Amino acid sequence: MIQPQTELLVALNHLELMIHEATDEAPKLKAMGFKIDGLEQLQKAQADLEKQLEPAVLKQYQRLQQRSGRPVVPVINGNCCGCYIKIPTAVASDAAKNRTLATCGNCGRFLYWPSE
Amino acid sequence: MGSAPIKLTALLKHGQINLSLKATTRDGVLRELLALSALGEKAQQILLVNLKQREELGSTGIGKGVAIPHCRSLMLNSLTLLAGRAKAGVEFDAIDKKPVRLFFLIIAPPHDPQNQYLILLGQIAQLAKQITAGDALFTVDDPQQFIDRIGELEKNAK
Repeated sequence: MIQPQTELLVALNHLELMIHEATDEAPKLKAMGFKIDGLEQLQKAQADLEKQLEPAVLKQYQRLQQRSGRPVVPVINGNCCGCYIKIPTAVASDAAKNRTLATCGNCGRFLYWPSE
Repeated sequence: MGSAPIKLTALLKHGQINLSLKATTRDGVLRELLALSALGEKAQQILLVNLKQREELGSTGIGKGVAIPHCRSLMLNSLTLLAGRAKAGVEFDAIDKKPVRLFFLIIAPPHDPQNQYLILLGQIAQLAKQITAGDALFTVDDPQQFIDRIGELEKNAK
């Protein structure tokens, strides 16, 4: 089972990516022929998710977002996709993958294992 | 600036094409397309939520029987294109209200300094304009023939 805070962080980061698409990129997407509206509902969902996160986790997330723009990163082939360092076996053990709130020891980003 | 076109024929692999989608609903099609990816089940579920969320902002059915579902996701670290065809057509709330038969699903990583995501979206949207009702993309059964036809359309688009 995925650690609930990890799941919330992934959902929050995805929502923010979509908000970026619905705002900054909307003119380009509309010019291509796509419809894209409904920013308010995304922002409401974002606020709801933020309320569900533990304050310390949210604060760390926001700090990482501000610093790097990539607060949550996948681990692919055993490497953190934020700084590309190898994640130690202890952190990446089967039992720990997505079941604990893991961060990269090098860059501090929250980690997510998409292959699990 | 780095806005070199992306070669669709190089991006699209045989295993990422399903020319006989069985699904008859929007969500079913998205699920079947995601199954073509190498992602784990949980990651596919998360992506399905993202793609549905994107569709709620406005259908990605851009008309003429073509839809280009898309989103950015933490689930992968490279641009991914999955293609599918539902011969009977699926209700997708497309811009022209017609059923969609051809699907090009794009997933991009969040970090995309060369903006390949938008470039690819634009290229496929342009390519879709050339597709007519009798296009081979609606009839061929071999993924390689499908890719070859994409290649022809790519050349014509230049």
